[in-house]
Amino acid sequence: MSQGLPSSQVLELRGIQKRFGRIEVLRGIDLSVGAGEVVGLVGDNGAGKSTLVRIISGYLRPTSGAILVHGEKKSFASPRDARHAGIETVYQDLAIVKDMSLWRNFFLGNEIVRRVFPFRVLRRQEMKTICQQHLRDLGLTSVRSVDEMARNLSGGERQTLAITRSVYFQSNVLVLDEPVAALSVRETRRVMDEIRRARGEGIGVIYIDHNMNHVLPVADRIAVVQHGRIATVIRPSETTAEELGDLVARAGADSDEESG
Amino acid sequence: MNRFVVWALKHQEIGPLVGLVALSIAFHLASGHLFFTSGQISAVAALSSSVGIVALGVTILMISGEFDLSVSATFALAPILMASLVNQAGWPPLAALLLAVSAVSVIGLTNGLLTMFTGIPSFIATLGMLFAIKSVNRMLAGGAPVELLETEDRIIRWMGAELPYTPFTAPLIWMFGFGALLWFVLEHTSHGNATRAIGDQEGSIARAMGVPVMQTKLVNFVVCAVLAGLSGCLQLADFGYASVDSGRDHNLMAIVAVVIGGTSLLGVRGTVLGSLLGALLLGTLKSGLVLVGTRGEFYDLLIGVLLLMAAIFNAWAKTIRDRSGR
Amino acid sequence: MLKCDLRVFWRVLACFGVFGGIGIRKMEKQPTIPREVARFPDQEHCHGDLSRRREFLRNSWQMGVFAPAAMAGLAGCQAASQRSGESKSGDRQLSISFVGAVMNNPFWGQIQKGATSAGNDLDGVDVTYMAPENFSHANVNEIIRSAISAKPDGVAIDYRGRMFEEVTQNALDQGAAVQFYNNFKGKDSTDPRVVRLASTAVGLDKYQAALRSAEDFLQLVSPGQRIVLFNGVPDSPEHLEIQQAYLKVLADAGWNRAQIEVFPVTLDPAENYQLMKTYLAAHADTAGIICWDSVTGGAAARAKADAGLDISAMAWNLDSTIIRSIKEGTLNLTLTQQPFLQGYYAVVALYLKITYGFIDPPLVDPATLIVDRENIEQVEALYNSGIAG
Repeated sequence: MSQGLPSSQVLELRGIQKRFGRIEVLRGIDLSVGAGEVVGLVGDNGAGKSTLVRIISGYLRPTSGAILVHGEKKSFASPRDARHAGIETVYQDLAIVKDMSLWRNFFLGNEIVRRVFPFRVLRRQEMKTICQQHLRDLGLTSVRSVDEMARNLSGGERQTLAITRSVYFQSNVLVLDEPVAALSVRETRRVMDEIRRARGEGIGVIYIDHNMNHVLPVADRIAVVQHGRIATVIRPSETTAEELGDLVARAGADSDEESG
Repeated sequence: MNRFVVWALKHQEIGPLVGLVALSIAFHLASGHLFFTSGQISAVAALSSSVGIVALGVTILMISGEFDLSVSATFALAPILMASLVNQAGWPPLAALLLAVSAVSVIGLTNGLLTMFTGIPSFIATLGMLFAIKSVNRMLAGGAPVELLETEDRIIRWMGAELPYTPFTAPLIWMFGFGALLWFVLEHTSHGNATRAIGDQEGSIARAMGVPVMQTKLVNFVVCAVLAGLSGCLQLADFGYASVDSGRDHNLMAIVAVVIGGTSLLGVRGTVLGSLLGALLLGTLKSGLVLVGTRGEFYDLLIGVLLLMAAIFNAWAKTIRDRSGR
Repeated sequence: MLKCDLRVFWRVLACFGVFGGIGIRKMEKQPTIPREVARFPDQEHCHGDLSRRREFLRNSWQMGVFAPAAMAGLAGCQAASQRSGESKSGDRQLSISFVGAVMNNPFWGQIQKGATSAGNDLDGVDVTYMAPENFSHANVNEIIRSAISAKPDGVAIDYRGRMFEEVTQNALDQGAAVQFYNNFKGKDSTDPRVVRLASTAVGLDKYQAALRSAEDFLQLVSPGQRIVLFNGVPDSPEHLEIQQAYLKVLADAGWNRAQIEVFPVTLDPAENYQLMKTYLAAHADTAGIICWDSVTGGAAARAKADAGLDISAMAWNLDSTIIRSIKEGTLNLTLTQQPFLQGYYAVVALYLKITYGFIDPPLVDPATLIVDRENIEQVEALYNSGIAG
């Protein structure tokens, strides 16, 4: 039930702060992502991007601040709540269990079940079919069967699996943390297509990448994170990859100076 | 590598199965054809099912990345409680059984809560509980074995009676029954999927994907303790008594059976069928050695050798499997 | 995590408070010190101004702090009293520490019972039985060490060999009376005090016991027949000695060593039963079974009966299974070392030493009683009254 006016902002972060003991990693992040908008998040290492991702995905709780999904204030006790709120995350370390099969990984936490009290019985055939289909769509044709163990896939294939998974379950927000790091050019292009498709469906996307050449073509806005804050928000049309890189490096240098 | 061997190794339970068959045949021949006799088979069945049911609980907990070393004390506690209630308080056996099971589920819950809220590894938490429960057992049993006086009750017979036309007693069937149930849960339910995932990286992956880590682990701790207690009660129904020393080695033996079966101590990879085979292998070894007249001093040594051989074999089989995967 | 730590802390403090409070209240309520609390003689010196203390203790949280302080104070008082006076008679309690081999076991449970019964029957004697959870010489040694650190008036020790010499000497040096029981060891010590103690122990010679039981048992089997010895505690040197005793007895009676098998089992009764059943199936020509503890003996009797074999079997000690097996005829005889009497006499001996100053009360052999079909009814009656011989 919406508590305020229906918002075109799919995700809104207000004053998010995160402190680990005495270390303040996020010092007040204000960010909003509209429906069908791709927001790129760039910044140097240690700027707080991964922490922010973890807070959005529900893995961590912010020390203070609010998260709103479609204008409704949400409090995530765990990633489960975030997924229920329609936020899907592709983590940097993928969150794939190597010793489980592909389809089990695909549906982890969101299995299709049939209730046979007291058990929730898996509908294996259905899940396998869906998994197979979606993986194929994303180009993972080299996989013989979805019963294969995830460890038998290459790094890039696992990344594709993680992305496919999130794309399949997404409903409001898609957060991608360095999703194409291990991918080939062709695979990267496919991921970009998926991001555009998500945008087309009205999903808000947060996209984090080190490589400015990936961010620029696909983002509607780019936020530069520096020292736990959003230093600038810039439109791709207003900048080039090189300038952006300089901006990030300078921001990094500034923060070095600050910390002395 | 020979394609047939590779195919066989894909099913990791082949190893312990072949071992079981080979060992049984070897004992049969070495003992002058005494192994496959009804008396001997019943001994193997009793020895195996006693550890086997405990091993089932240990397996599912191990898959989710935790250990329970208190199972041997729990194995003794449940029947001591049950027999005391029946003998001294005149309770009907079913009620006594239910109370005993509730008591051990509290133990399982305590093991789980201790592990999760204090941050100490389950290995240590359950070790502490092992000593605590052993003391409770001594206080309850007061030193002498506790005998079950009510043996004709229907529930007792369902639990421990001999099966007609077979040399087995009921606990063996219960072991296979629980085994099938646990296999089903592991393979075909979301709890099973969650259990596996939680075993990886202490549950951080599962947590990130929204799996209810704490709930799942708690359930597994309780299941492990309940199976240990039930196994003790089944033995009580079959054998007629329990003492503080009942199942005294079962915590380690269950781990031996589980490892022989191919479950990984690191979690995630586990097989219920393997643990059953491991338990059968242990039972076969223990009674077979007596049958062929091995000197008692060598038993522990041979159990150790079996464990090492099985573990090495399983590790090798795993590399073959992984290599042939891609 | 932090929240939970605090919770645990409060709980521990609350426990301290509750137990401290209960303990102190109990002391306040009773004008005389009850037996259970008076581990330490000469409490009168410690009481001080009772009314002032009551007021101070009114705040329950202070009890939590007071409890450990109280315990430290009491310990200090006790030490003081020991230093102040040598007089051990009068109306103060004698404290006797009775150190056993293991807690809760049919045999040792009876020793404990005998010892504490003597403590109850004798005026002014307080007996505390202590034993380790798991038997080992080192564990028992530790318990003796702890026991004598509380400076009891007397201590009963099951002296099993050289490793107990030092702790015995410490007890004697402290001024405690010492009594050996159960085993007759220590005659080879270089300390004449220990040798004397060994000569005046309360107990019986295991070898003699084996001989005595063999007298009856050997009437049931003949030389040349296969005999199996089931050793229920293979890690215990004492059990090994008994095993050797039987081997010698059988050899002397005409057996060839090859016809005797020693089979170590475990303490797990159900597992023993299965292994023994298997053993008997593999060796159908077995004519005799010898066990020397009740757990093993009971399992052997059942295994033999369930295998439908007619084998003569004997055990040591008494428990309900053994009694029933004898009545049913599945066990031919058992030997009781009369552990109740051992515990009882050992305490009496200590009492005599402490109160009257006897130097060497005589050696007491509670005698070995062979229990078989003929006297089982009488023994059962005694057992049902709570005392197993």
